[in-house]
Amino acid sequence: MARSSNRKLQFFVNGTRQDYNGDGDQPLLWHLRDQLRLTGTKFGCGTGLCGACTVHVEGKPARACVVNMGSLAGKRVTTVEGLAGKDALHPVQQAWREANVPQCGYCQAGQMMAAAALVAGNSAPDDAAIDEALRGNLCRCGTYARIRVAVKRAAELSRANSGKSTGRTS
Amino acid sequence: MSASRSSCAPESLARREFMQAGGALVIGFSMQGAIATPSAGAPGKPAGFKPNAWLRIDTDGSVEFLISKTEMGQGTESGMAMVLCEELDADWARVSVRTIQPDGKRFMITGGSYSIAGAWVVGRRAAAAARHMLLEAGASALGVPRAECRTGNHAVSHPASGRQLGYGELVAAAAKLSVPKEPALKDPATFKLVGKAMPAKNLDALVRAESRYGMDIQVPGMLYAVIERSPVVNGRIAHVDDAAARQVAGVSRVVRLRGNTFPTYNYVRDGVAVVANSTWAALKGRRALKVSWHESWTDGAPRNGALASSTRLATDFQRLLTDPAVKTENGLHPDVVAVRDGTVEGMNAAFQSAARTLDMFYDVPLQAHVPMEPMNATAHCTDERCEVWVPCHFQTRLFNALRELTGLPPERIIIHTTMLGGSFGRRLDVDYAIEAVMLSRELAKPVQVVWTREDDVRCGLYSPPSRHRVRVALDAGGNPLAMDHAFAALSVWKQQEPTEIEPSGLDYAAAFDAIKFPYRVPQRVVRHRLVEQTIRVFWWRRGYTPNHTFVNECLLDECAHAAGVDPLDYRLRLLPENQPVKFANKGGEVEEIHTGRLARVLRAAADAANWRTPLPKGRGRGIAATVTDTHVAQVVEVEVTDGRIRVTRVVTAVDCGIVINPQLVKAQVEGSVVFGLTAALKGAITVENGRVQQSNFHDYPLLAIDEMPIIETVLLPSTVAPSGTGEQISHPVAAALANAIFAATGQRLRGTPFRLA
Ligand code: FES
Ligand code: FES
Repeated sequence: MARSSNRKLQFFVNGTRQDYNGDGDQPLLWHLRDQLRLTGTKFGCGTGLCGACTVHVEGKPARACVVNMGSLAGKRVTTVEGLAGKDALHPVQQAWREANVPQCGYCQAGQMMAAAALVAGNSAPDDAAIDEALRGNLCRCGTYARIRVAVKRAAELSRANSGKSTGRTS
Repeated sequence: MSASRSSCAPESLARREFMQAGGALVIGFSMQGAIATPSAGAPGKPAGFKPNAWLRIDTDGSVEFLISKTEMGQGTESGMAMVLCEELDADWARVSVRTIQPDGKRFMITGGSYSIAGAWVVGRRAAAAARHMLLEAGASALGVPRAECRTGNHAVSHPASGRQLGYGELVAAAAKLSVPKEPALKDPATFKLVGKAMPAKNLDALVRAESRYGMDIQVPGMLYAVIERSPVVNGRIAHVDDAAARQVAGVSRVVRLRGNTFPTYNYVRDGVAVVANSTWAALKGRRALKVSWHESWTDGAPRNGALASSTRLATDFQRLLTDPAVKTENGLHPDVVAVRDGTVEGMNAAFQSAARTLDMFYDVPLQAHVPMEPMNATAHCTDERCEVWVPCHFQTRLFNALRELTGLPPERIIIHTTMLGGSFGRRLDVDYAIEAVMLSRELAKPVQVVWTREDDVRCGLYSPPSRHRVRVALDAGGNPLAMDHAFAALSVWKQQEPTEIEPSGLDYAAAFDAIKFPYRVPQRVVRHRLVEQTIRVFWWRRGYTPNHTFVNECLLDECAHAAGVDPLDYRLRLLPENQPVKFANKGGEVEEIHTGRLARVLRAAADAANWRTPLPKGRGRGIAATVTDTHVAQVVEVEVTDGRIRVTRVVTAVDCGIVINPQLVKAQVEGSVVFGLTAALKGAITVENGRVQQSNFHDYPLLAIDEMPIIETVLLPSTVAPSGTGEQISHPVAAALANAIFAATGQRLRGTPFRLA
């Protein structure tokens, strides 16, 4: 039988400290959605296959459906709700809006989180870098063509924001 | 069209949506008025329903469209709103759209890509009526003749004096006027909004990830549940050991749910629900559950002795297509003629005199819908009241099912339509919502039932599989003299709405897209044989259109190559010149293909794809087309290296009449290409021992971004009424790809998903 492995820990969600006292096996996805009521992070497959639940853990993209709460002590988690500032949109969100990316929108929080992580580490991602970073983020509505355009635009906007005129390629 | 004003408060105003009608101007209309008969993909009967859409202008000038249509990413809301906003001369920024709640009087379904066409025909008239009323109210308020006034930008103006009054100020007076029955419509040449690339109304909410999908609903006191369902259709619970499950922290109840018996309209599997205070606890509890099943037992009587099997299905299909003496069970008509052009004798003579005959078998497998948001519903059902929050687009079906299930009067059943994380037809069935209500009744508490992806893949409904045998007789010049298209298939109607089948045994939903073949063939017959198995089939981005488009467009290519003629030229040569060709559908309905429009999209796609420019070795192009009311042609370009198929480019030409929002139409094209390629290249659903053998995206994969071709779209200018783009554009992809693979390799692939020898 599945035993409950209770854990007490602290971690950070979108900059706010959270006390967790519960099943250490619970995936971050369900804690975010059911207990913290941050429902922007989506459930698509539950097994790390679709990317709908992509968040950042310590700035790196991670599948919240396969990250257990027990592994998060002291860690910083960013969800789509923490992507933008209070009013302003994140460059990725701006680019997503400009390119009219979302159709049903369900996969898009995950897509944007994956894109934000990419753009943070690569100021001028080429097609190969985009493929590499986003191939695990499925979209049944088929918005990939616009995602590609939007990622490049997001990189451009980020460069402009950070005052750099030329991008670095990785 | 019916009109209603706050002052006389007729029936429609009693509804929740109009509680605060105040001095608003409200016009109600019926969207189904645009559709003579819903066909495949839009089951059910709208007859006798009340208005199911309203246009409401408030005294503060805000305009709201209340529609019975559901947004699921296809741009319905924005497209419809643009049409109404244009005709009303309203300010786009002050227009909002809301989905109504079903109440049993209003038919609510979104399907068959009819929404835009409906808005065009009926919605426009309602908006025009409102505009005329505002114009009249404006003219009298300004004390000038009506003919001197104009509407525009949310106001009535009098250019001669430079005065104007906003719509908001005129609403109270306009609402007292009578509604013109045949208001003059705007000339499309004067359109300002329609035709512009506009962002979807909900774009901001989507990029902020603030849209509330079914799964995002949280109701106070809500419990969470997952259900272990019978692994086979019609299985019954034999034994449940829930001791371990109930010990999982957070699990509060384990509840047996008794489903019903397939085939039926609203089939629900038997299941064991694990109820908990979080999704995770419910999932963990379910893992600890031990359930055994009676697998081929139904209401005491053994039935369908053998469990469903794809292998057996393939054998049955083959037998039905090759053995004319086959007797089928269940009183099925063994060989039903759907259409015959010419005569039996003529057909026989043609095959005897043919210079060449072709005999081809094509296969279309089961496919799953797998919308990214898995099935889910949140229900709170007590003895008094039944409230459901659900991502659903056939609300009338759910409403009726819940009335039957709960016995509650209509006003006690409240269905909230949430945002939908995709559907592709899956959510036209409402099994997932019925289950949630059954469980909530049992618990007398609000509960959210979530399907895992495995539940979705294994316990869902699938596109109808079919096998086709097409025999063609060609004359010495390569032109077809005769064509015999026989197919065997599972029938959605047989399973869900058997009364839709004609007395002759003809299943129009299954056959119509084979009947609808505009190319010149003097002797032609389409025949079908339906098979029964306990595999649930359903509309899948329309019904059987993907199957028949694949067959029709591949067989044309095969004939062209047999004739030694370029496949584009061959099509153009066989198309009757620039005329509507009519085909009889169910209930005397007639649908047409306009051969001029079809030829135009074929040429446009070919031109944009440089059809006449040869490609290097190992690469090839294929062309295919399809027509609903929208005419679509596609050219797929492929590269085959080391036995690997890589699609490099897809060019689509679309004639969907007047383009309301080119941005949204292009989005539909891009998405449809991906959907079509996934079906053509990726997995298929198979069933053995009654069990679906796939479970998640590792064994039922979707196309990913790194497999994307370049997608180009040509929207052809048109002045005819707009038609839908939500489904049809995905249909020619597989055939165009098969034809491209043949051009590149000489290998003819006649079944999806494509695997090179
Ligand atoms: S839900 Fe986490 S990857 Fe699919
Ligand atoms: S936008 Fe619908 S799944 Fe990606």
